[in-house]
Amino acid sequence: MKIIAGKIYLPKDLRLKANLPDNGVCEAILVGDEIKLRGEIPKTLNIIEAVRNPRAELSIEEMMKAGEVEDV
Amino acid sequence: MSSFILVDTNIWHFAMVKPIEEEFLEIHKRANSFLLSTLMDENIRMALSSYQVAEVLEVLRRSYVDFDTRMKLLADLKTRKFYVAEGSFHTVEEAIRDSFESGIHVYDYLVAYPLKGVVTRIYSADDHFQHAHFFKMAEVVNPLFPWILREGVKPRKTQR
Repeated sequence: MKIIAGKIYLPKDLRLKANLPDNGVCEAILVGDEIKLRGEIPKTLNIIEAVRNPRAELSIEEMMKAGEVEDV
Repeated sequence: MSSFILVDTNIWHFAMVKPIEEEFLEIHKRANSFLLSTLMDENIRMALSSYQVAEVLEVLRRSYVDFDTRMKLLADLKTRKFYVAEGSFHTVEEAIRDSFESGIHVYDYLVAYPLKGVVTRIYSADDHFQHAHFFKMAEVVNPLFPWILREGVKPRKTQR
């Protein structure tokens, strides 16, 4: 792998190993000290669609209440 | 090579529920993007304690996430992507002892301790997880930085 002028160059064998396409759009996500490169979105898990399109909306007060351990 | 990670309940919560207020929407976007990338990364396996499975599903229920979605998540937890660890009485005893010492509620310990020796990294936005009890067992990373989330407290941004 090479980084030149802010661009990352990945050899073909690494791209293949990571299931990244030769052409097209990839997404880079920075998490802590890791940069995750994401290619095509697989649909192997049922929950992925629900995470991609979350429907629940609450106020922050309601979210805090939902996350609290209640004293009963 | 597969690696096991723990994703804390508050990240699941904010990833799957949108706050109405604009000022907190950034937390949802960060959590959602992080969870999605983690779920889709074939090299990452996620581990949860059986206590955390119940906690995540209960928080989503209280947030009105529909039953079908919650059951899909429960079914996915049985797939190869996930590893669910049972909590033993020994683990509960250790959790209670350390919780008493730190003043951090026992539930955070019940999320993490059954995964000692299993996970190499803990992703949490709760600063309780910055305590030595947790970072002694795995590296702790806040993927929602600079946001800090804690039960019962409004989310806040750190200054640094």
